[in-house]
Amino acid sequence: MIRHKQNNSRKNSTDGQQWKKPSVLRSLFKHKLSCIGLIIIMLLSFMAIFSPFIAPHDPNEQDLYHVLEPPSWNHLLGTDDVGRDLLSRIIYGSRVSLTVGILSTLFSGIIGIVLGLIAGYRGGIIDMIIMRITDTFMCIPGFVLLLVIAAVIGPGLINIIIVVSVLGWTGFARITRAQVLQIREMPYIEAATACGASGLRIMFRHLLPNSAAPLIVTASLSIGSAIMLESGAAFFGLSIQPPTPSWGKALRIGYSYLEIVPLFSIAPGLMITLAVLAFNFLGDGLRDILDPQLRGARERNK
Amino acid sequence: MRHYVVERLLYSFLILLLISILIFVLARLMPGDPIHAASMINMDLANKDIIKELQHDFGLDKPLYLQYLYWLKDFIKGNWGVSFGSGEQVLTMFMRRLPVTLELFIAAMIWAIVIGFPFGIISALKRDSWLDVFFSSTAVLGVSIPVFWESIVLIYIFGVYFQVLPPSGFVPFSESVLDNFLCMLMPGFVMGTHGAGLLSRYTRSCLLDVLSQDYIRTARAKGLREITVLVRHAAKPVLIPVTTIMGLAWSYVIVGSFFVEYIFALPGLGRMAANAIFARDFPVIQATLFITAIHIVCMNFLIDIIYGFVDPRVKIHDPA
Amino acid sequence: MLIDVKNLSTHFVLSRGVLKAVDNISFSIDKGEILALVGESGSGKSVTALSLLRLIPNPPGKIISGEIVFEDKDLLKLNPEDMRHIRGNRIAMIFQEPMTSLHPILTIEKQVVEPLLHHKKIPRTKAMKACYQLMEKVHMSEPALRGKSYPHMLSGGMKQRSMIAMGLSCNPSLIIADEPTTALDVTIQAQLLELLKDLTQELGTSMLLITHDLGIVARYAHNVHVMYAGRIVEKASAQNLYARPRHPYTMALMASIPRIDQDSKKLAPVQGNPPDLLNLPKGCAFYPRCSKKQDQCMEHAPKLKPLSNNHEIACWMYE
Repeated sequence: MIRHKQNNSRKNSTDGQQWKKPSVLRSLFKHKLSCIGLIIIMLLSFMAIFSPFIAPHDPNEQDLYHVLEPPSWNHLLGTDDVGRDLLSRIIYGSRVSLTVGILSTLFSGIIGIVLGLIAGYRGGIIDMIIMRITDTFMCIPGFVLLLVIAAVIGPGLINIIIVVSVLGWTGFARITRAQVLQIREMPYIEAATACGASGLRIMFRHLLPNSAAPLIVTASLSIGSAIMLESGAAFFGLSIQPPTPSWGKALRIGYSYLEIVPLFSIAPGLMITLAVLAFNFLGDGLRDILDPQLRGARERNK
Repeated sequence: MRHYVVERLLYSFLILLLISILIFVLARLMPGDPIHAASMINMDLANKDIIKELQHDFGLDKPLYLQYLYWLKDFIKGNWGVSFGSGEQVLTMFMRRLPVTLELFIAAMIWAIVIGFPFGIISALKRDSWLDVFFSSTAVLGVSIPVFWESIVLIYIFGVYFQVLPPSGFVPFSESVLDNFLCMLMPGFVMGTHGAGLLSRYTRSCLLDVLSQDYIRTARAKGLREITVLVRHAAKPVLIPVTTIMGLAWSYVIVGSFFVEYIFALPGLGRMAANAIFARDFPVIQATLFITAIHIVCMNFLIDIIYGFVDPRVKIHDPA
Repeated sequence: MLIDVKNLSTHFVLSRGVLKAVDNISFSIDKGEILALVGESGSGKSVTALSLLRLIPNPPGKIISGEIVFEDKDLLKLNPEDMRHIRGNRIAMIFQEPMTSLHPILTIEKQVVEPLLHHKKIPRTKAMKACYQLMEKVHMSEPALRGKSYPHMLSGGMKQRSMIAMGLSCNPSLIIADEPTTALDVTIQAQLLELLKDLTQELGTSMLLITHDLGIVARYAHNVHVMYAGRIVEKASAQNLYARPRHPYTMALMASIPRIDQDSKKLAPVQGNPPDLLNLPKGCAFYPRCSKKQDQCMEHAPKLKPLSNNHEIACWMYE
C-alpha cells in the first residue's frame, strides 16, 4: 500500500532507473547494534585477559590512608572502602563476569542441547519426562532457585558456575527440542535412518547442525543472562569471595556509601549493564540475520 | 472445552507436585540445620540432649520422605509451620507482608504495560525510523539493566541528588496515600522495567508479523481505514501471543522483588524470603518458594484458559 | 472503457538490485468484459493486480510510473482517502489463498458484511440481511451456520465463496480475481469459476482474471493478455489466442498443454529457465528461450503492435 509519507521521496528520481535502497537504514542499524555489541564484547574480553597490563594498580592493594576518595589523577575512579583503586578492581572484575557467563552458558548449553535432542528425537515417554522436568524448573524463577541452591552449596566461583549452568539449560532444551521436532520429519533424516545410521549419529551429525542457528542466538542471550545472574548472586554475597574483585559485590558495598562516593556503585553497575547489553545486541543481530534464512529454508522444504 | 480445562488442571497439579518435592529437597539439602545454627549463638542450646530434643520437637529426626508428606499435608491444611527464626506462624508472617509485595507487583505490571505496549506498537508502526531504533534500543536496555543497579542509580538521582523521592522505607496506604504512592514510585518503576522491555520487543515483533499477513492485506483491499485495520483486524491476533508473555514478565517481577525490597527497605515477601534463605529458616523458605511456584503455575493455567477462550483456532470454541 | 491502464511500471528495490516486476504495460477493460491476464509465476500478473488497487507494500515496492484511469479519475493520483473509497467498493479483489486471506479470529459473517457496513453506511440489520443473501447467492450451503463459523472450520471452496461474497457485496464495477481457484481442488475450481462468470454477467461487473491456467482462460475469458517477465507480449480475444497463437511464448505454452486427443508420448515444456527478473536481457526478455529468435531480438525489445483485428503482439517476427 502506497503511504503518502514522503520519507522515501528524496530517494526517488524521476527516471525510475536509479534507486537508493530504502531499507539501508534498517540493515545498517541492525548491523550497527550487533556491531556495537561485538565491539563491547571484544573490549571486555581484552580487559579480562590483559587485566594485569591494563590496570594501573594492584586491585588488592589496600591503602587505609586513602579510603573512599573521589576520582583523582592517581585513582581515576577513586578508591573503595579499604583504599583499593576502583578502576583496577573494575578491570579485574571483568574476569569473573565473563568467565562465569561463558562457562556456565557452555555447560548449560551442553546439558540442554543433549536433553533437547533426546527428547525431540526419541519422543514418547522420554520426551514427556524430560519436558515435565523442564517445565518444573521453569516454574521457579531462575534467581530464586539460584539463591536457594547457592545457599545449599555455598559461595565460590566454581559453585556459582555450577548453579548458573543448572538454571540455564531449560532454554536450550526447549529450543533444541522444537527444532528437532521440525527437522525430524524431513526426508533427509528418513534417508539417514534408512541407511542404517544410529540414533546418536543422526542426532549429532544431522539434527544438531541444522538446529544450530537459533541455538547460537540463545547462547549469546544466555551469556548475557548468566552475567546478570552472577552479579545478582554476587550482590547477595553468594558468588566469588573477597578479596577477588567482582562487579556485583562492589555494587553492594558501594551502596552503603552512595552519598559519599556514588561512583563506587555506579561504575560496576554500568559495566554489568554494558556486558549484558552487548550480548543482547549481538544475540538480536544474529537472530535477525539468521531468521530470514531459517524461514527461507522452511518454506523451501514445505 | 471442558476437556481442555481438565487437562490443563491435571497438568498443573502434576507440575505442582513435582515442584513441591523439588523445593522440599532443596530446602533440606542446605547444610546444617537451624538448631545447630542457633546453638552457635545461644550457648544454652549447646547441650547435645537439648539439641536432640529440639530436633524431635520440630520433627527433624524423622526420615525425609515422612517429613515431606507431613509438610505437604500441613501445607494444604493451611498450617505452614512455624518460623525457626521468630517462632511466628509462617502463615501469619506471610499475610502481614503480602499486601506490600502485592502492591509492588501491581505497580510493576502497570509500569510494564504502560511503557511496554506503546513502545512496541509505535516501534512496529514506524518501523526502521529513528523512533523505532530509539524505542527498540531502550527496550533492550530495559532488559539488560540489572534491577539492583537501576534501583541504586534512581535512588541516587531522585533520593540523594534531587531529593524529591524517599530513598527507602515504606508507608502503608492506610497511613498516607500520597506517601505510599511516592515510596512505591521508584520500586514499582524499577521492577517494571524488565517487563516493559520484554513486552515492548515482543509486541513489536508480533505486530510486525501480523501486519505482514494476508488477512491484513484483505482488510486493506476492502478499503477500510488504517486505524480500523489496526484495531479490528490486527489487535486481537497480536494480543493473544502477547498475553502469553505476560506470564514471563510476571516472573521477572518476582525476581526483581528480592532486590528491590532489600534495597528500598520494603517489608515485603521478597525480603522475608531472602532473610529466611540466609538464616536457613526451612519453614519460611519452603512456604515462600512453594507459594511462588503455585502462583506462577496458576498464572500459566489462567493464561492457557484465556487463550482457549479467545483463540477459536484452538479447536475448543465451537459455535456449532 | 471502464479502466484504462497506461504505461504502468512497478519496481521492487531489493538488496540484490531492482526487480522490475511490471515494466511499462498498458491495457484496458470494458464494461462487462472478462479479461484474463496469463503468465507463469513471476510474470508480474499479481503485481499488476495489486498495483491497480495500490496495495503494493511500500518498502520494497513502488509504482514508479503510469496512469490508471478509472471512472474518470487517475487512481495513481488519488489521495489515500479517495483511494480507500475505491477499494472494496468500486474495485474489489479476491485473493488466491483463502486459507490465509480470511481473518482467523473473526466470524465469516463479520468479514463478509464489513465492506457493506463501511462503504454503504446502512444499518447493521439491513447489512446482515444483505450479507446472508449474498452468501446464498454464492451458493454457500447452510449460510446461517457458515456465517457464525470461523474460517478454519470451512472447506477451501466455502472460504473462497465467502471471499467472492465479500468482493461482490458493494456491487463493484470491477472485480480482480487473483488466481481464485489455484489453491482448490479441480472439481471446486470449475464450480467457482462458473459462479464467478454467472455473477459477473448478471451484475454487469467486469472482471480481471489472473491465472496461469490456460484451460480456465479458454472457457471463461473474453479477452486474454499474455505476460512475460513483467511485460505484455500478446493481446487477443480468447478465441483468437487459441485458434492462432502468435507469440513464440504463447505458442510454446499452448504446445506444452498435454491433450487427451493427441497421441504424444513426451511432454513438451517451454524450453529454458524462467527469467531472472533482476537481470533481464537487453532486448526481448524471451530471447534466451525462443525457438524463433533473430539477431535483432537480442538488441531491441519489441513493442506491442496490432496484427489484425483485436490481436496485438510484441515480437520482431511480425514487424
